[in-house]
Amino acid sequence: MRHVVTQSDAAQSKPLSEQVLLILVSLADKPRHGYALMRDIELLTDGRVRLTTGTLYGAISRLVRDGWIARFEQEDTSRDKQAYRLTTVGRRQMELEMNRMKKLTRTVIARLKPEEAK
Amino acid sequence: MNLNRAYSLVLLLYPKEFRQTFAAPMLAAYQEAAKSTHNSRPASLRFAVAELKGLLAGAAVEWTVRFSYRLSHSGEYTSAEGCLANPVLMLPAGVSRRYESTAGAAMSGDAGLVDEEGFCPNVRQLYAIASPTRRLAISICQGFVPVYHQLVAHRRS
Repeated sequence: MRHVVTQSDAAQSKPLSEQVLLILVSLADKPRHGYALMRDIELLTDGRVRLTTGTLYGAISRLVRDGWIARFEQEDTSRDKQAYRLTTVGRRQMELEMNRMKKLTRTVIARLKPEEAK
Repeated sequence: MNLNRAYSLVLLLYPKEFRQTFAAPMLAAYQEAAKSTHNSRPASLRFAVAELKGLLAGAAVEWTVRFSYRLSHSGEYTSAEGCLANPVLMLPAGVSRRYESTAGAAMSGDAGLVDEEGFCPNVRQLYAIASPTRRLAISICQGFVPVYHQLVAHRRS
C-alpha cells in the first residue's frame, strides 16, 4: 500500500471554519446552487451569517478542489445556476467536525457543572 | 453604470481560471440576492458594499492561493531550465513531510514504500537514496545549467 497522505486526511485534525461547516451542513440534505446556499445559511443561522458571493464561491472552489463537494448535474440547470452536492469525503469531514464539537461541548458542560452546583 | 455591470468588472480581478468556472454562477447568485434587497435603499447600499468587500477579499485570496500553488507545484521550485527537479525544495502534492523523511528507512525495506506495484519513492527520496555519483550529477546539473545559460546569454550580448 502506498503511503500517500491525502488532503482530506491531513485536514482531519483541523477544525473547519464556520463558513465551510455551514456550506457542508446546507448541502447535507440536498444539492443546492449558490443563491439557495446563501439563503439557507442565512436561515440556518437566524440571519447572523450572510455570505457574500465572493466568500461563498471562494469556499466552493476550494471544497470542489478538495473533493468535499461536487458539481451536481441536472438536466434543466443552466450554466448560471450550477448546483453542488456533498460527497462522501465531505460528509465524513462534517461528521468529524460534529464529533469534535460534541467533545468540546461535553468538556465545557463538565467544567460548568461545579460552578452551577455552588 | 448599473450594479450588474460593476459587479462583472470587479470579477475581472479574479484569476482567469476562477472566472471561467465561477463568474457566471456568481453573477447569477448576486442578481438573485440583489433582487431581495431592492425594497429599501439603505439595505441595497449595505448589500452592495458588503458584496464589493467580499469580492475584493475573495480576489486577493484566490491570487494568494494561486501564487502559493505555483510555488509548490511548478517549475519555479525546480532547477532552472527544467534540468532536474530540485529535490531539496520540492514537496510533491499529497505527500506529508513525515513520509518524505523515510527514504533512509526505505533502503532497509521497513518503511512500506514497496508495495505490490513496485518501489514508489518521490523525488526527495530518490535523491536521498541515490548513489554518491548520482547525487553529484544532480548537484552539478542544478548548479551548472543556470550558470551555463547565463554565460551563453552574456556571450551573445
